[in-house]
Amino acid sequence: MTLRLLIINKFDSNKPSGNKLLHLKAQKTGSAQRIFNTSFATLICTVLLIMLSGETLFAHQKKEAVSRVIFNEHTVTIEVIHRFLLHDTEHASKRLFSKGNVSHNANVLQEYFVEYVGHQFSLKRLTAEVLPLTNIGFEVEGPYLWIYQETPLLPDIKRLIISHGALTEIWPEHVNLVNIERNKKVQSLVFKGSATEQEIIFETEK
Amino acid sequence: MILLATVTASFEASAISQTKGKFEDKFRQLDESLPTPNVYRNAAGEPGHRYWQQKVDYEIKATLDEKNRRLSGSENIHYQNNSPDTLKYLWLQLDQNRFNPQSMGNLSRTFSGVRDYKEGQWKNDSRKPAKINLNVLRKQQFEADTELGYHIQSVKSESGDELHFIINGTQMRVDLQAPIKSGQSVHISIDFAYNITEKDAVGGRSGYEHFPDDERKGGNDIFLIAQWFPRLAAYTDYEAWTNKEFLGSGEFTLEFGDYSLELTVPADHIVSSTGVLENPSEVLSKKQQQRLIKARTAKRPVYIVTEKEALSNEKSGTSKTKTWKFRAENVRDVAWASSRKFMWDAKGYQQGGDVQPLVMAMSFFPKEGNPLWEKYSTESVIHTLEVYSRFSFDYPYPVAQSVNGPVGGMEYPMITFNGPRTELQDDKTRTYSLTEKRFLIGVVIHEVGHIYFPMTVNSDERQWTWMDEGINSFIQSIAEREWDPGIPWKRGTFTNVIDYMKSEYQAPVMTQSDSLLQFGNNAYNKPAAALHILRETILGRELFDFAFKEYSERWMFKRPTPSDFFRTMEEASGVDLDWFWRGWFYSTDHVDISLDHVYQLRLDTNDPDIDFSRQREEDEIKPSSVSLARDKVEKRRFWVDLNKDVTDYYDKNDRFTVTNKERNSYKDFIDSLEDWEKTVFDRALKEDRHYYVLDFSNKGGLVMPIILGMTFTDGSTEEIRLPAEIWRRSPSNIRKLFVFEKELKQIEVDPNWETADVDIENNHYPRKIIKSRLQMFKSKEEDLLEERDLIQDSKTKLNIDSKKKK
Repeated sequence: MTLRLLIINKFDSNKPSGNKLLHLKAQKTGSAQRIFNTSFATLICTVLLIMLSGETLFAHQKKEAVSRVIFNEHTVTIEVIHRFLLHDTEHASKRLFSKGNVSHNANVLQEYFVEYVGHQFSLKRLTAEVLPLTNIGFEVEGPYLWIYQETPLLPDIKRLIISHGALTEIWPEHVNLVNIERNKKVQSLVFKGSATEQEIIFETEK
Repeated sequence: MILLATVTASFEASAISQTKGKFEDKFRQLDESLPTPNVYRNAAGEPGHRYWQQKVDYEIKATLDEKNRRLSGSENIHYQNNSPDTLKYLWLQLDQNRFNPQSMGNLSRTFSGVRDYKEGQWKNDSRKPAKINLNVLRKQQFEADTELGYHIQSVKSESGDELHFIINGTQMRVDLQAPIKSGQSVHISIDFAYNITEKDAVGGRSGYEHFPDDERKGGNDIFLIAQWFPRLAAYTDYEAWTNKEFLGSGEFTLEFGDYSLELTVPADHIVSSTGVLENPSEVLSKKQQQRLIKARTAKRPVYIVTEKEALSNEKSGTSKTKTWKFRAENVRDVAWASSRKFMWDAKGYQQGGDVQPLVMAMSFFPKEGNPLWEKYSTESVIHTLEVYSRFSFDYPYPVAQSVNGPVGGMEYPMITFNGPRTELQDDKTRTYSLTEKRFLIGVVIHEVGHIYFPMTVNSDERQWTWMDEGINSFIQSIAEREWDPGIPWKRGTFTNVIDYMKSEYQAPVMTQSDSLLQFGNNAYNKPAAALHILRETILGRELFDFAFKEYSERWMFKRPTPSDFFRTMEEASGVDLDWFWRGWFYSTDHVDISLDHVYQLRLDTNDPDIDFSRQREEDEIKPSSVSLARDKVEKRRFWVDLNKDVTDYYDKNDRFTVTNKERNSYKDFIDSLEDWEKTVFDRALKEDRHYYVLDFSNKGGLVMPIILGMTFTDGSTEEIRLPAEIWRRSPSNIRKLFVFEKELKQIEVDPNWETADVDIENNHYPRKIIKSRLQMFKSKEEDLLEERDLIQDSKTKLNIDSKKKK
């Protein structure tokens, strides 16, 4: 669970006239209620309390998840494959969704988690145009929960803005590594702590 | 040390690149990058003939103030200077100062993580609100409300004189009245106190956890006490005093010594500690003492403190105290845990041998851990000892403990903290999922495994995390597999490391602990994968296991550095592995070997009557020209057909016609051969083998053996393993000739997926279209069976059809 910090003013060293005090205002997020459907809204309201109830981070083994954003020229799609440790998703789901009147059923929690990731992860073109991600499904294989999404591969994608806040809002030390794979080249982004939106520029643009 | 590392890195880079051509020496001798062997650490990687290490003994009395969650204590320290140097002062580690808001660790934390590993990104939109985690605010509020860090009340000499000391962050220098020369010792005493941190609020590897819902008014706490007394910093032959600030990631660099502990806690608390309990008659009931004796030979764990006793304890409380006394010999640290919530089970592990024939495996846990803990914790401890001892040495201590508390997983000599819990259901029973069970077994194996590495093989955690976490994760995965090979353990897969190794966000394994970019992948998964590959693919089990055991035995109760590990593994296996350490530990290269071309060849006989005929056959199977085909369709009439009366020699012979000129030439060739040449030539012609030339490219940069799975047209298969040295003169591209009796149908590089090759699409001849994971998923059904809580789900009542019910 995260709170949003709104930037009230900004000091920019490149602009002499911008020499003003920087204020950060903590604001309880409303975005969660907006993005989730009604049943989720009830759940999210309880998240704040759950967050205060305990932290189960490993002492020295950091939590890490990996997402792959693959430009598949054969299928003319951008494939998104998220890989989370099943044990992480189980604990996160219980903390996010298990309070109130919601069932403890593991499969239901898994579906909630997949939906949660769907809201926490997004792709945009530089034009701020959201690339609609279709949820293909999810599966458990090995010690992981795999989540699959895809969107049509548009011909003129030169940059991508990627948002990823899954689990970092619960565990500050959680790291989401995103490998963007295009034409056999891999570029990486890392989402950790408060960094939830970043931009990737493909080589031809540099 | 930072400076040294920088100099080494730049030296290394200049040593293996050059200004002429593009040759990069992936097999450059590693010795020029390693410290020069000396009398303390020799070229074989074992302790030199004048190896030394300091010895520090402690007598510590401490009191837990439960109400105020404060620990106060006094320690008498006996410091034995075994170094050849004279010491004017002692440095101590004050790890609790790490929690002070003004610590270097706290002040150097950034808001958005790392930014500089890649140029040209991080264009955060400043119009977007940033986010802050509630846990971050909780931490800040706890730090604002609680005075954190040590209160050092006094530092005195043996005669009681106050000694001058200065505190620098997490380190404290104590100036001695007189220098201690080599071979001499000194006594000092320190009185200290600090407020215990709430683990869930500030993190770390110790602290208390509060249980507000317990029946006792005000609830109860579990206290996990570690990094709790001012400890001597290590003084070593390779660094002198350890002076790297405790920033939070790089753990501990410590000296061995003997400890005597007197821990005063509320009388209804149960204490688990490093060491042997010396006064059971004063802190346990007679019945509990009898149970402890019974547990030594029990087949399954025996409760020393039962669930009923623990529940009774946690409902009440007392103002009385008890003092638990422990003695620990030859350990590099001590930690302990205390709570009235603890139940305690134990089982003797009959290890045999002369070192510790009997080891007491024990677990301490609250009701929140059961029924999972009573079933698997102590048994997991024993399983760990059985497997790890096979790879290293007999477990050297009298006890091995697993304690449940707020810390997910942490290790100390003879004692580990492990976090798995069960879930309270509406029917008041407690259940757990399959993943939680795996977590418990896995984390107990991992943390108890740390009692071998680094608690006994005393590597420097502050600098090289992989030496304990990587090596330990490697053996952990073996122990997990030997528990149940049917479970998909996290450590037993290369999946993690492949995505990590091809990413841009990484640093070499040899990077100092606090500077690692992806801690888990860098310090745990990558070195563990490297060691698996070294064992299964490069050396083979026989050579690897001997060398690894040699390393463990050489450095048991001593302090190895990376060079000692690298040198021992080479020296004891008899295999030059410099390229392997360079690639896996000093670089960010990944494995991607591509099979680019396959050429099929046939040996010419030089006999024109055979070779010309073969050439004609090859020519005839080529497709005719499109123009000719279309001319025929159009029934075009050709000049030669219309003028058949005009012919010459060439109309009856083609360019493959053999004349005596060629036959004479062939005879001359045969006559010119030496006898042995003729024998070889004749045999080659008779066998008429299939010749193939394969082109490989190394796209990932990391040189590795090339493993080839060959399938022949008759359906038979063969595996060929080419050593990594094939890349030594041409690290990017190589070409290799193969000769077979049979014709090849297909080839696959790394058919068993044992080298962590990141791209399998280029591993095949003929090329295969490898479906992406997503595409494969689309074609199979979902499998959601793993995460079910079967214990809870099995209570579900069967819905009866309403019509039938009527």
